[in-house]
Amino acid sequence: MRNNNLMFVIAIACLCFMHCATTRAPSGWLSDPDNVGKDVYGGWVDVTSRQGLISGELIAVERDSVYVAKEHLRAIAVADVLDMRITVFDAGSKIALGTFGGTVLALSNGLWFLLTGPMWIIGGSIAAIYRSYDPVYDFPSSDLRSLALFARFPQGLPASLDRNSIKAKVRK
Amino acid sequence: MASKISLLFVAAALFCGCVARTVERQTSLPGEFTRLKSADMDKLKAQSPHLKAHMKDGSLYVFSRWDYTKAGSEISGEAQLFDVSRRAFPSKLYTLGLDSVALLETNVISNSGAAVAMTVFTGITAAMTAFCITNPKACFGSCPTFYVSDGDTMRLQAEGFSSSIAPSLEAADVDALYHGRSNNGTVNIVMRNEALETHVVRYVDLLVVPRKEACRVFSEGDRRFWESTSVNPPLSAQAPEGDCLPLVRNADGIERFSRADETYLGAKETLDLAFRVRPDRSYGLVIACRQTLLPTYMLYQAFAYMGSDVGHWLAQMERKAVPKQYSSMELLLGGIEAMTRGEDGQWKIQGAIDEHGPLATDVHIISLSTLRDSTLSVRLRMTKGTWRIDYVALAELSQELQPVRLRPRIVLRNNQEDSEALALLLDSSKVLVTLPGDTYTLAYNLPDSYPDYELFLESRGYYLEWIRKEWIDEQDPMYLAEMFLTPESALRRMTKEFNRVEAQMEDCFWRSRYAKQ
Repeated sequence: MRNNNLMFVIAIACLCFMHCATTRAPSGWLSDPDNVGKDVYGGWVDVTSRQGLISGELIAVERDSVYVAKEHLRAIAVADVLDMRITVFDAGSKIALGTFGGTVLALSNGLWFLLTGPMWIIGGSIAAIYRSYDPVYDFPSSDLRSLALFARFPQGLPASLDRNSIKAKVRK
Repeated sequence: MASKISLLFVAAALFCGCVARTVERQTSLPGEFTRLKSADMDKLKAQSPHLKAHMKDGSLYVFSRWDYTKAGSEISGEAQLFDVSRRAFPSKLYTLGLDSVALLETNVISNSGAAVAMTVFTGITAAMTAFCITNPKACFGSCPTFYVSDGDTMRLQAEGFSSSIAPSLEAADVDALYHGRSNNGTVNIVMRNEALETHVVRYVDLLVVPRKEACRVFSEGDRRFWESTSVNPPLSAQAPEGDCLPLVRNADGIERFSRADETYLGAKETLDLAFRVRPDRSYGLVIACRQTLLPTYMLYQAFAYMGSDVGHWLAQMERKAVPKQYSSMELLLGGIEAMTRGEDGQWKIQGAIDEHGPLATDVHIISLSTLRDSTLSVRLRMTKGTWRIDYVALAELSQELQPVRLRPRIVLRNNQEDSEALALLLDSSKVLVTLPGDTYTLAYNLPDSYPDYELFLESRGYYLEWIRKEWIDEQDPMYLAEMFLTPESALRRMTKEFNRVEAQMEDCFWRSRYAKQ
């Protein structure tokens, strides 16, 4: 009995400390997972740098600079980057909806809801949190060079590129 | 209703499996790409529907179908070209030399771990719902359970007043604690409510009978206690399926039982046994048995047919306005009749065992009329698929004994002394009410005037089933009337449905036991 109470408290405490991944990407900007393979743009990036917070499409990551575009292209010196979060696709909210639906369906279990209800509420919440991190890659927890593959130009900025012509992907 | 819920769960499982996709992006230099083995390339083509070729000048080809040629030095297929500013050009067939490609990108789509978890949750919930829908009458039920030490572990040894499903049916019940052992002159009995029921317990007393060395004491009916100087197994035991002697010669929990008849649930079967006896001695037939779940199923089916009127029917029963609950059905299913072959070769009924309860095996004795032959033929007659027989033996009876009644000395609840519960159990004008998950430990002190005692438990009370929604979905007054008025016809009609669930019932029943966490 005491052990079960302890487990419940630990589970709730874990939920309190965990939270869903957030992004500043405008609604509808990110592709669905099924369409990422044909998306010709970079992922959404939120860069916290010494210049402040800079968000937009990740254009390229080079040895000394990170290139981000919104209305225009901006270069941020790698030395100035404090942290960075790239979001590659839209994780959606269907797991959260599924958790709600599963909890409602579990009501059909009668008294067994005492088991299946918490399973859905706690387990579903953890699954939703886990899901929100599926499309997310963070620096410094990930190597900066490895994040280049989520840029519009994973090979680096082309030498002949007119930097003034680069604009971020327009929201769908 | 069941099919709609099933569809809902299938939809939920598909929803969880399909919506939470994740993407694993990989980039390769052209040189790395050409080194991929043919099998790996085929696998990649299957997993990544699109291939992106990032060109050195910043343009991008997105291949929707692709292949590689010339020993991997070219990629060809239908693709759309995007220039460095990502202006799109119409799709057409392209062949690219890998020497002009900076990077190749694939995106493998798979299910998220979150989707897997959700699918597992959906499966568990669906299984639980399916269990409740398909076997609502297999849920653990039947009165308080009593656990007593057998010297090693606490063992389920008795269930109290199984037939008392309403206040008007309150009754006392004596159960043998055949495997019960005391510990330093103390007997601890753990009483549990393990079902979705309210138990109303008037008293729980221990009846102890002094026992000489190598002797056993058996109870006949609820009130006569016989001392036996020797207990002998049968010489043979023949059931319809063949020799069942190994199953019934020891009280070891290995039971002989049969499946219900496939055409009529009231069909009878017989077991024929033979014993060696010494003429002109007194004997009693010892039978250790419990019911199968067929009678429980019938009771719950009666509740189901009462449906939302179950409260009304139970109230009517309390007012004696209707016959006792399913009593005619009970008569048809019946108990175990014990018969001996007379001198005229005819089978003569010596007695019957009809104590209810599918949980604990109880040990009974039926005293037999004086025997004259050296061999005794016994026939047990019962409804097929209704009884589980653990042990049959012939006990030589020496004398009738009187038990000593012991009241509980201490009652513990959650390891704390509960003097209020003790007071309720000691005052026969009051009752102790227990709810699902409740557990009480009752301690009794044995008199020290005798070295050993045979233990019996007498409990009195009644219990109220919690009517479950799944039961009342089958409300049908016509079928209910059939159960009361023409039970034989009802047993025939319900045969097929019972046969369908019978195999899983015992397992479902024990798994549905309610225990407070």
